Amino acid sequence: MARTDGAGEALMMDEVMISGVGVVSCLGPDAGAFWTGLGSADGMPARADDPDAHMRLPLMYKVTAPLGPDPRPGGAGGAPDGGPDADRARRFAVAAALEALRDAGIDPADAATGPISVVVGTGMGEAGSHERAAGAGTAGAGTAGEAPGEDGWRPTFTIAAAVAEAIAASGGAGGAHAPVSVSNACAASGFAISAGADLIRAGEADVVVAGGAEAYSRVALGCFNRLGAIDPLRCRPFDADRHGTVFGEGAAMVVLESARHAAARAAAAGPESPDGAAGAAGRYGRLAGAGWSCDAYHLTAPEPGGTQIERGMLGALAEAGIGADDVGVVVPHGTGTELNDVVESEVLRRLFGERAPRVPLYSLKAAIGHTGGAAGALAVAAAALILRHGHVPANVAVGELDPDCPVWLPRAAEGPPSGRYALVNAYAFGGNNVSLVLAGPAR
Amino acid sequence: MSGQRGTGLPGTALVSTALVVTGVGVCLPWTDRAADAAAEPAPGALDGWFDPKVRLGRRGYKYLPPACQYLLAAGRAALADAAGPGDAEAGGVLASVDPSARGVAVGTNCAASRLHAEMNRTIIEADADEISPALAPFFSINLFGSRLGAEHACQAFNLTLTSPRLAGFDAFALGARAVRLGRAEVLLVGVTEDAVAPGEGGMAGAEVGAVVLVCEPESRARARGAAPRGRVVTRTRAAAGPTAGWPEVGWPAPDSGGPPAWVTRVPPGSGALAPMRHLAAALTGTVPVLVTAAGPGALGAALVTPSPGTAAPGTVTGGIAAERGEALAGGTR
Repeated sequence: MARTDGAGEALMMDEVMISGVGVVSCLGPDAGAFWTGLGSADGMPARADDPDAHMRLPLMYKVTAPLGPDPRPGGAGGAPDGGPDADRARRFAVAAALEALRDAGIDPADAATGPISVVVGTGMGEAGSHERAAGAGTAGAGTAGEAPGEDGWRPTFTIAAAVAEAIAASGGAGGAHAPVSVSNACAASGFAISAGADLIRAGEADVVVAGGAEAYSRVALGCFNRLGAIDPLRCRPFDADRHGTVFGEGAAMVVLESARHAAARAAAAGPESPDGAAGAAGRYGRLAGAGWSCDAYHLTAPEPGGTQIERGMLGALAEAGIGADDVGVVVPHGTGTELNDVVESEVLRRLFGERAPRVPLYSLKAAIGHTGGAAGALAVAAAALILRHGHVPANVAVGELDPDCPVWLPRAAEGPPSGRYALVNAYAFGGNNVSLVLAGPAR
Repeated sequence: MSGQRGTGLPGTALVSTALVVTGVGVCLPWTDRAADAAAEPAPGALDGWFDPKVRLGRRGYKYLPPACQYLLAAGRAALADAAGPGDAEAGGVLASVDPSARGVAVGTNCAASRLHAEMNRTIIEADADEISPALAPFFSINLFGSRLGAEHACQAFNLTLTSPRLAGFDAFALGARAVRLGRAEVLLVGVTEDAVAPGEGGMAGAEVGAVVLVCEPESRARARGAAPRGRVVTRTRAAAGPTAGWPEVGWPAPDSGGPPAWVTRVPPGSGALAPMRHLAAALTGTVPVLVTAAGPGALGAALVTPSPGTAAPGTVTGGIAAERGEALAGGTR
């Protein structure tokens, strides 16, 4: 739709539709297993499958399901997971991206699809491959799938490139942009999805596959152990006894599509195919707004007053053109880290005011752990599925709620949400904050 | 609390903002002059060339990882270069910019590589508890850019881009787009690298050092009496194969202001620094230069148009392009 800026220049501002979702998580290899598992997960991590993990708490929520075939040249065909394989984060990302495109009813090989841009967030990239190559217990295992470039360099952050390569191998024409890798730690994929939406809003792309991926990294888990930031039991955000987070593996991708592209696709498909392209375009609603901020305060701790995360949430609501009363569900960042959960809870209380005790949260990390750079994308996927299905899954039970965390974590499926918008938060080391607002599909 | 700008309508109004570069800062083993940034590094000068006490101060910097130190030094140099008349007395270029309007976008591929390798070795051979608590947070590669943002109270946003080889061009593109969408008014764009770790290969192409640019709307630069160094427009394209030839990026872009005079093809290397080094050097020249680079599955180009009359003293017309580039035939390729 055309909007006018301050200088009076008319610019094309397209709405950003969410047309497809793909998920790989500890709950299973696809979005269906993810959605089913959200309401029934036991929330217990396992021990990392790594004989070299010399640290007090080598806990992970691991991806164990076999993944679909990888269409990249030389890609593994349905390789089993659960072991210390190389190339894990890339394979999670590729599987999620291809599922999201199928879910959207978009065939990369269809000439009408046009270029597909790729923006992927990851904190560690393929660091796990380099780490395993140096490990005593799994010597040499890390080099498989790591084709060195002409100069012998094996860069760490190749996940976005692998997704683009898989789309090209599926017949895609290649993106309007080179694949973009965003690495803002635990907010990386929140920024990646927002940046993907910006490509559409700025008129630079019509179809963007955006999301995040993260796999086990010995170094990341070791450093979190060193910082005393791992809970000895499980990931239990907002629990009075929480003592840190627990990492999880996974990937989530969404297909973002300009409203113009979605409308053209629906028109071309005709009224005959309600479950085909016409029904798929924008089936999850819209990515309505995003707010970015940075604490610029401390390397690892949040700014205790929450000023900047509040600015991020307000920015996302303002960009969506809604107020806090329109929000029906929140997928919080909530990691289980002591101060972070208190600060986020307090800002949500300020944001919603007297309505705060009646706004349901779905505390995702209690079900799948903290998936690091993929966490924002998995939260967006959860929110999109909640809005599409019209109910909030039962939260995984934690112990007694922290009285300093005045949030509502419904223990039974709750729905439909009282507002048609979902708020998603993703925060990171360095105080890198992003909030996203999703608008549910028209009913 | 100040809200985000440009948010009066449902969906952000896209503000048409022409960004100019007003400051260029480099921190490289062989120079801290932007005009010399395109020189090829002498082999072997990876460590021992940077004294944080001298370059950054006696307290608070010694225990930062090298790539973070380089980035902070380049950031200070860029802000000093961006100063207009009266800025120093007012407290610096950023003093008149609300912290919520200061954005940061940093590209890097290998800032944490050697650190990761050392931490990995410590965990394998001893225990994670042996990792230095001061360095442990830097396992997360966004802390390098976040430290730059904290140094200058940049609260609009802090982005870290890691696309192989093209992360600097991505930092410029995403940062500038965010400014156009009203997420910030002034932008620090940077790249910092430390050498690759042995397990990553590519040691022959290892890069160390940092480049930072100060970017702002031209109207803002003019208002404070600062002379723009020039303009930068970036463009990237997906490509088949790891390095399938040189960029065929369809230049000139509609908003590029005309065809470039020269093309500089940045040779392959193990990081995102060299493309930004060449970009920084081109900003000190006198003619438009198209800086092109290739990463795995990706081609990128930056059109650098220096402002007339702002060439650094002693800069030869054509600069790096005269030595290393080639004239364009017909203005496009």
